[in-house]
Amino acid sequence: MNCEHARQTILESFDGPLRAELHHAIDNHVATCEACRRFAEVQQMLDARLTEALPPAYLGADFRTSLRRKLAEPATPRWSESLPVMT
Amino acid sequence: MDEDVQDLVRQGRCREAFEHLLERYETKVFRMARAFLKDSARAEDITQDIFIKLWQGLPDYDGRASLGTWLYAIARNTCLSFLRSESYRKTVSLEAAKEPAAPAQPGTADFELLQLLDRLPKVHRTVITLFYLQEKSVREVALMLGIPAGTVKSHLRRARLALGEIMKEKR
Repeated sequence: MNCEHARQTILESFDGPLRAELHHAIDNHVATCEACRRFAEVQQMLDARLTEALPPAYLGADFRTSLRRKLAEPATPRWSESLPVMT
Repeated sequence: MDEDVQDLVRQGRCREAFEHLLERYETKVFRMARAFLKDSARAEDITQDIFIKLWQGLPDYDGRASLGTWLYAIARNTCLSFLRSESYRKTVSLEAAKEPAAPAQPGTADFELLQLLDRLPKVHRTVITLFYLQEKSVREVALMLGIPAGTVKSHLRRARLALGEIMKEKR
């Protein structure tokens, strides 16, 4: 595995699980390549910071109550229905 | 995935279909709105608007796209319309303003990282933000943005490389 392939694979590893043989190849590469080891460290730190800074968000407890209230309100009449009746 | 709900719509049981969709998608749609708007309170309001549009449109759903794809398209369009109207309002208010607006206050511990995200091209920022807000699901981000999973991965890779470079410069 060369450095370019190693870095691509390191980046892919944050998108989802890697196949075991790729994991093994990366471990072997970074054990002997200082530059790729630093690259992996920076990317791991970045992933950890993004995970912490962008945690999964949840709706407020009254979201559905408020939504149901809005759905129960009579719909706003279309503009044509708002026109005065001509006599 | 939503075939059971599609059957309900075909049978005219829109209220039941709506309840299922609300249960399955409300959190995902909220996170999507939050990624676009960068504001939880507004994202919650917009999520309500999106589900009201879904409720109003459900009887006319024609089944050409899956319900999830259709709902995400409504969500995307609603968020983008809101952002367009916001940027219009900002332009007007800035022109009318006599004093400069107050700077935004940091809302999180890692404000520096969020500032770095703002330096990315918009598409990279949206994809990487959605990816983390959606519990790291490439598939879900692809569905939400209506783009192939490979394109999501490509944007993620570019965003990570750019952020990594900026972080190295700052060390």
